Amino acid sequence: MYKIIMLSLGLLSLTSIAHQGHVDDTALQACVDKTKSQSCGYVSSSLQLHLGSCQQFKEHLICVRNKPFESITDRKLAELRAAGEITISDRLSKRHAPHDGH
Amino acid sequence: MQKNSTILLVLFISSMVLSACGGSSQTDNETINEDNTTTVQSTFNPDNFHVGALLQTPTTESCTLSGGTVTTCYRVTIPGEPVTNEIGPFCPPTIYSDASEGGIWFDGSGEVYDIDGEFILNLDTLYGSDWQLYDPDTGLVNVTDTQAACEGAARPNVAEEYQNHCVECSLSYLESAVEQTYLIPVEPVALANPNSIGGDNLGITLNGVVLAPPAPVSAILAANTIAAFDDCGGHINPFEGYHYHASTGCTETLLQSDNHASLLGYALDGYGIYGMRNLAGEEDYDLDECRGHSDESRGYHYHSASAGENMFIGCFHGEQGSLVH
Repeated sequence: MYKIIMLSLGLLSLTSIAHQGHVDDTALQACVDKTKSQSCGYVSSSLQLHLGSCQQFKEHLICVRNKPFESITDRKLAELRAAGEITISDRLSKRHAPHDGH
Repeated sequence: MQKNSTILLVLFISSMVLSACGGSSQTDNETINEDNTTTVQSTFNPDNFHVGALLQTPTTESCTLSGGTVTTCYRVTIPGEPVTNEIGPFCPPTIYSDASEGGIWFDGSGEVYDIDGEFILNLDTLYGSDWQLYDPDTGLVNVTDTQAACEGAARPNVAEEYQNHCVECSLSYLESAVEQTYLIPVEPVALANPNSIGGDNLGITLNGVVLAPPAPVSAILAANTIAAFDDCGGHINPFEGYHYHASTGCTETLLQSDNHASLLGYALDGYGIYGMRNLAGEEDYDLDECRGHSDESRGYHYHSASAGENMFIGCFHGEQGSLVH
C-alpha cells in the first residue's frame, strides 16, 4: 500500500512539473523581499553572473545589472549556491560542481 | 578712450570675482570646470538622427518636466518605424524554417533565442509540455496572420483560440498613423533620486522608433504565446505600433571618435543612450543604478543593457519630458 501511495505521489509530482512550465524569471526572483535600490545578483542559465540593484518597472522590482557580465565556472556556481546570497536560475538546478578528483 | 578703459576694468574685476568664487562658465553643451577641463554634455542633438527619422525639424517650446521644472524642450516627431531597415521577419512559417525566416525571442533570463523551426519545435522543453505552437501533421507554425488574430493575441487576456501561437502583427492593422511626438528637454535636469521607469515608453532611437519598457514576458508566456521580435529587438502591437524592447545593434549607428560605444538614441530626460560595449567589446565598470555614468566627452549618459535582459536602462537620471500625441 505504501509503495502504491509513493508511486502515485511520484507520478503526480512529475506530471505537475511537466505542466507548470519553466519561465525563467530569475531577474525578478533576485529582488523578492528586497526594496528599490537594494543590491541584487543572479546567475543566468548561461552561467553569467549579473550584479546590480533592484529597480521598479511598473509593479515589478527587477534586478538591473550595472557591472560587466562575468562568466562563472561550475565550481564558482557551487560556491555562490552555498553562500545563498545570489539567485540561481532554475534551469541550472541540475548542475553540480565538478569532482575534485578524489 | 577713458570709457574703454572703464569697461575693461569692469570686465577684469568681474572675471576676478568669478575666479575667486570658484565658479564654472558654460556654453552650449560645454562646461568649463574649475581645473580648466571641459565637460561636454550629451544632450539631445537633432543632427544625430538619420534622414527621415524626424518628420519635422524639431522646434523648441516651453515645457514642464516630470519633476515640475519649467524649461525649454524640443518638440520631436518620429515616424514610429525604422528608416534604416525593414521590419521583421517575426514568426517562422514552419518547423523546418531556418533562422533567416524568423526573428528572435528573449524572456529576461539573459538568453536570446533565434526563432527558427527548431526553436518552435523545442518550446515544450523550454517552457513545458503544454507548449505546441505548430501543427504536427503539416509542420506549419501557428501564426497570428490576420488582424483579428493579432488583436486577439496581443493583449493581456489572450483569447483562448490564440494560445499556443507565435504572435505577429502588421502595421497595416493600425487605424491611425504610428508617428509620435515627444517633448524632450534641451538641457537635461538631473534628479536627486532617479525616477523609476513606468509602463510608458522611455525614449527614441536615431532611426525613428520608440524605446519601450521591458516586454511583459511573464504575461506573454502565461498564455503559451511568443510575441516574436525581429532581429532588431522590435515588434508590433495593434495599439502602439512598432517599438523596440532591447538593443541588438541595429540602432547603434552613431560611431564615437574615442572607442566609446555608439549612440543609439535618447531617453525622455534628454540624456543619450549608447550601446552596451565599447568598440573593443568591453563594458564599463562604473555604471550607476540607471546604467549611466559620466565622462569628459559626453557628460552623463546611459549604456543599454543586453537584449537578453529585456531592457535598455534601469531608471531615469533626469526629469523626463513627455509624449504629446
